[in-house]
Amino acid sequence: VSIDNRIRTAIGATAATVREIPPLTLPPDPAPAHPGRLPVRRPRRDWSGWLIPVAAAVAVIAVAATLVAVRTVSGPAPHGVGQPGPATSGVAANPNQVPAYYAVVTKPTAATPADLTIAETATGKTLFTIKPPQNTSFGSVTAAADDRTFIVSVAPLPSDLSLPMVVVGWDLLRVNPGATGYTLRRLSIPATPRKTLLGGLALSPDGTELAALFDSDPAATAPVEGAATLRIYSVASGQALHTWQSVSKQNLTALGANSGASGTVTWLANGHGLAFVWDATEHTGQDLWKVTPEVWRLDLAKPPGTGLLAGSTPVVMNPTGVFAGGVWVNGICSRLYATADGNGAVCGTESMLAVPNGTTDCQATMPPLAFRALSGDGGSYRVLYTVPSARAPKGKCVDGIASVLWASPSGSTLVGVVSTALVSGSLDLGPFTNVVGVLAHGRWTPLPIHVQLGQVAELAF
Amino acid sequence: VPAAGAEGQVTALYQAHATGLVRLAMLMLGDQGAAEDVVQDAFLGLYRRWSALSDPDRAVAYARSSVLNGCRDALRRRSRKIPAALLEPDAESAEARALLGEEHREVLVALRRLPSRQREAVVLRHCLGLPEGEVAEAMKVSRGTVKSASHRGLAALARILKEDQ
Repeated sequence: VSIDNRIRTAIGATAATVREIPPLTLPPDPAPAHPGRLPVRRPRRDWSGWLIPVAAAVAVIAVAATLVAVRTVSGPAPHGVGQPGPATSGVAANPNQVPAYYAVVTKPTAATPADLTIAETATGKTLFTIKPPQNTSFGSVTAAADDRTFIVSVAPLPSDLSLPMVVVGWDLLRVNPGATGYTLRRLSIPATPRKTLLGGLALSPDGTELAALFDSDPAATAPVEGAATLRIYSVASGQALHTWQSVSKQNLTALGANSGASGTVTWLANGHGLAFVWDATEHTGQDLWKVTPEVWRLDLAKPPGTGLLAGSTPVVMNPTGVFAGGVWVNGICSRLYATADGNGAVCGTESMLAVPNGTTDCQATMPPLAFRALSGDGGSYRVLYTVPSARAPKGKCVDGIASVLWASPSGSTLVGVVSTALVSGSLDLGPFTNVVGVLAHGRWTPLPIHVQLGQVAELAF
Repeated sequence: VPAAGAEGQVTALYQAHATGLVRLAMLMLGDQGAAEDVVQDAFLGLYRRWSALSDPDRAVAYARSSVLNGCRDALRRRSRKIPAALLEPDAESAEARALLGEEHREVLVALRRLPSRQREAVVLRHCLGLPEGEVAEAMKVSRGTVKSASHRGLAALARILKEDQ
């Protein structure tokens, strides 16, 4: 019996022990004057938790302020951020400059299809909010190096929240010079088979070709053998120009994006290749898996073979993650972002905890988060910036994640987000505070971009 | 102030979803009584905030997040009161022990040794069968974090179970 089956069986058996539950007991007065102890329910309940949310909200702000010195950027753009202005489609902007615009696809619900928003990086100002075509929703989005061309996938209406990764069409969006308007047109790139999920997406530097990585197994919730497909399409004709497929039985299992579709595939700055991130699964024993993200570089000059890896070169292997005592240690990368020089990756770390008994992730002092540059095999990395540690108020806990949203080809400049949360109170609805910023030359400059990552499906620069 | 009709709507939601949420909390806490408390709390919170909900279609997602937060709170309270070495056996009810075979118990004990984020990701994906998007919403993390946490959690479970053999 595989471990996976054993886990599923045990979970199912445990869940099946819950058959009858008591009815809901609501307070007799629908508007109690004081949100304190309520008159019914189990006598051992402690209702003091009702008072926590307001204090928590205040404390979240305080902790965020100690983590990162948030400065409102007004007037001149932060150093290194591109300025909106005239541009010619297809001409790459300075690749080391933070793109002037970014795109956000919201998370859809059954009642509300996902919108696409284009906004200014320097100011956070929303330029356009675009509704999807009727009876569809937007899915994923990627930007070209010319900084004003985006391709967005169109998904079915979300009766199931995994459906945004199904592609029924592709739209090309171009922001007019001066951001005075935009054009949106349907491309002739074909829809993908129903049981194929989009795992990665990247536009070539000149905006003429689209690379898409597909995951073949939408039901995969565990490391399983499977094949992934990387395909390059002509934006103009919609034709598939090249196709590579991973080979089953290899010790790599392509599970597609490890952080949504954007950022998983990166077109090299010279246009001659792609770098892609895998969640690689190595079977180290019959029931043992070692799951690590890896970065590989695909050389487009080599003829496509039967295997995706046959034409690819490993760039970052075994980057992070030390397993000891039954748990993972702190400081692992939350995601990898393959850099466009094809030589490595950048990442942010997360304060995933390694509590000895694993029963709680409560920590009064959050370990420092960091942005790192990684290369080679074995986890060597260079710290680009360390986010100061934070301490929670008494009785509270603090957690955090740093993620890379965009990186320059060398990784020397990046846009990242530092998400922190005070953990308290059972009514904490949106505990994470997200600070988006530019990291260049070891200096972190917050941007006035206010985004709730929990409500965002994709964010692309 | 709960809106008019909140009681009926929240009660209907409870009847439709509470059993699944108690199962979720049971997996997190190992104790059905504590799990029921957490779920009751979550729905009571939903009731109290019903008029402030911008999108009633998200009420179940709200309740699920509240259940997860309630489980985190319960685990923290428990870890402060009980020595870690005694935690795992004490955290499990006698009823659950009687109903579950030894092999299943090993898995559940291993599950509780995972860091919370990994445990939540594994339980939500494997127990409730939620798509990644909904798991991400419940955990307030990105879909990528859900994917990595569930994979790491499964790998860690495999390691723990192998080590314990």
